[in-house]
Amino acid sequence: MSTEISSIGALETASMNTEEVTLNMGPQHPSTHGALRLILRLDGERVVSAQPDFGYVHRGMEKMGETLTYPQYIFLSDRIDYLASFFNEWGYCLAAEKLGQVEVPRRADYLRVIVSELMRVTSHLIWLGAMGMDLGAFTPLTYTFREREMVLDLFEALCGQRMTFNYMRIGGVSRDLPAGFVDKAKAFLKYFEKMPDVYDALLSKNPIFIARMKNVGTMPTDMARSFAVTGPNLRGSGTALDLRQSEPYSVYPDFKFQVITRPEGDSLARYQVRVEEMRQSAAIIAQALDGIPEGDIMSKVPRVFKPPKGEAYARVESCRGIQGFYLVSDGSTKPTRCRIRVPSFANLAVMPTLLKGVHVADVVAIMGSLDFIVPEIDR
Amino acid sequence: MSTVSLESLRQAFPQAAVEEAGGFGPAVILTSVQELPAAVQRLQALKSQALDVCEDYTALEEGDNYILVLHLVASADVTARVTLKAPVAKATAEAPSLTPWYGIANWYEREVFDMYGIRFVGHPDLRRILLPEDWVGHPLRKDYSDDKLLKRPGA
Repeated sequence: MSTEISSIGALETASMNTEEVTLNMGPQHPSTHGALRLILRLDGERVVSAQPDFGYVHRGMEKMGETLTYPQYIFLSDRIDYLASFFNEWGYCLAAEKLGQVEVPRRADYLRVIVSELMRVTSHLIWLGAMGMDLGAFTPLTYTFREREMVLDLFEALCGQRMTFNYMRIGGVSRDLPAGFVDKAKAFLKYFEKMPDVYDALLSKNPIFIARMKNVGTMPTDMARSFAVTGPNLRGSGTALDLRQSEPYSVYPDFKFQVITRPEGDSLARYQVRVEEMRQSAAIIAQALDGIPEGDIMSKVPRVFKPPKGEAYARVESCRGIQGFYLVSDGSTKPTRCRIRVPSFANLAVMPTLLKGVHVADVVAIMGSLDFIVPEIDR
Repeated sequence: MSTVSLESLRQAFPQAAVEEAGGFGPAVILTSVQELPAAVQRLQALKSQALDVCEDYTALEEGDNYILVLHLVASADVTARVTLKAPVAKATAEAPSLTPWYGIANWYEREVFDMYGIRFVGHPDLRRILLPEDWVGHPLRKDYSDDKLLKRPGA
C-alpha cells in the first residue's frame, strides 16, 4: 500500500463515527464443537471482549452421581467427554478403587493403558480433522476419520461398542482381549506409523495454515498457570506437565515415551504438540501390546461395593488434560459427593483473556487449537 | 521428586488443623472461611514449594455446613499438592472470593454459587454458569427438590 492511500484511509476513519458491535457466535456454530455460545464485542475486526455462555448440554452428572451406586455410574461417566470415554471410566474407577482399597491386576492395567492410548489417538485425530476444517481445509478430515474407523473397529471387537464403552470395572476390566486383537492392533500401528508425516504434508507445511496459526493466540506460562490449564495446551506453553510421567499412575512407569513440549505457546505450538503426541501414544501401545502379562483381568471385589467412610481424589492424564474425580463416601453403596474435574472447563476459562484484541477471524483458529469439548464442560 | 512436607505446612499454619490424608495428596488443611484468602496467600508463598495452581475448587455438604474444598498443586512439581477445606455455615452461606489470586477462581466460584448458592463476596461477576439464569434453587444442596424430579420406586 502506498503512503498516500493509507493516509487517506486514516483520515476517513478519524472522521467516521464508529460503534461497537455485539456478535453472537453459536450456540449452533460449526466451529464451536458442541453447543457453545460466544458473545463477542467487536470494534471493527478486533475483539474487545469475549464472553462464553454454556450449559446447553448440562445433564446434572454430579447430582446423578449421588443417586447411582458406584458400579452403576461407570456407564454414565462415558458420556462426560464422549471423545475420551476410557479416561472418564479410568478416573472414576481409580477414585473408587482408592476409596475401597481395591488392587487392580497387572493384566487389567495393561489393557487399560492400551485402550486409553488408542482413545487418545482417536481423539487427537478428530481434533486434527476438525481443526483443519475450521480453517477451511476439508481434506484432512476425510483422512483422519478413515484412521479413526480402524481404531473404532478394534474397540467394537473388544467390547461391542464404538463410542460409549462401559468397559472398565472397579477392580479391573470387563472383558479380555478377543482372539486376533493384538495382531490387528499391531497391523494398525504399522499402518499408522507413517500417517503423521502425511498430515504434516497436508497441513503443517501448508503456508496458509502456518500463517493462520503462528503467533496467534499466544498463551504465556503464567496465564496458563493462573487458569489451571493442563494437557497439550499447557505443554504447548513450555511446561512439561504430563501425569503419565510427572506422577505415574497404573503401569505407566513400564513404558518409554517422551513428553512433548513447545516453548512458543501459540496455536501452532499446541497443534505440533498434539500431532507429536499421536506418535508417542503409538509407541506406548506398541510396548504395551508386546508386554501384556498373563493373569486375571478382575480382582475380587464384593458384589455389593461399599467403600469405607472417607474421600478420594484421583486424576488421570486425558487427551485434553487432567481429569479428576473427587468421591466422598459415607460408607453406603452410593457416594455422597461425586465431583468431576474436567480439563476443558479450565481450558475454556482462559479464552476471554486469550481472545482480547485478536482479529475476529482468528477466534476460530484459537478455539480450534484449544480443543475443548462442550458436553464435558457442561457435565 | 519432592513433596510438601507436613512439618513445613504445620509451621506455616500453626493455628489450623493440618492432617495427614489417606486417599489423596499428602495433607488436608482445615481453615476458617474468613482466613481462606490468607491461607491461599501463604500457600502461594510457601518456601519449599509454591502451591500456585488451583486445580479444582468445589464444595460439599456436611451437617450444618457447606465445606469449600480446594485442590491446590505446585506448577513446578505436580506431586506437591494440598487439599484446603473451609466450612461455611448454611445460615450465612457467604465466603470471600479468591478471584485476585487465581484466574480460574472466577468460573469455579460461579459454579459453586450455581450449585450450592454460596455467595462470594468481592466476586466481579457472580451469576449462574451452567443452569439458566431464571432457575430456582441450587441443585447440589441435599434438601433441593423439584416438581420434575422423578422419585425412584421404593426410595
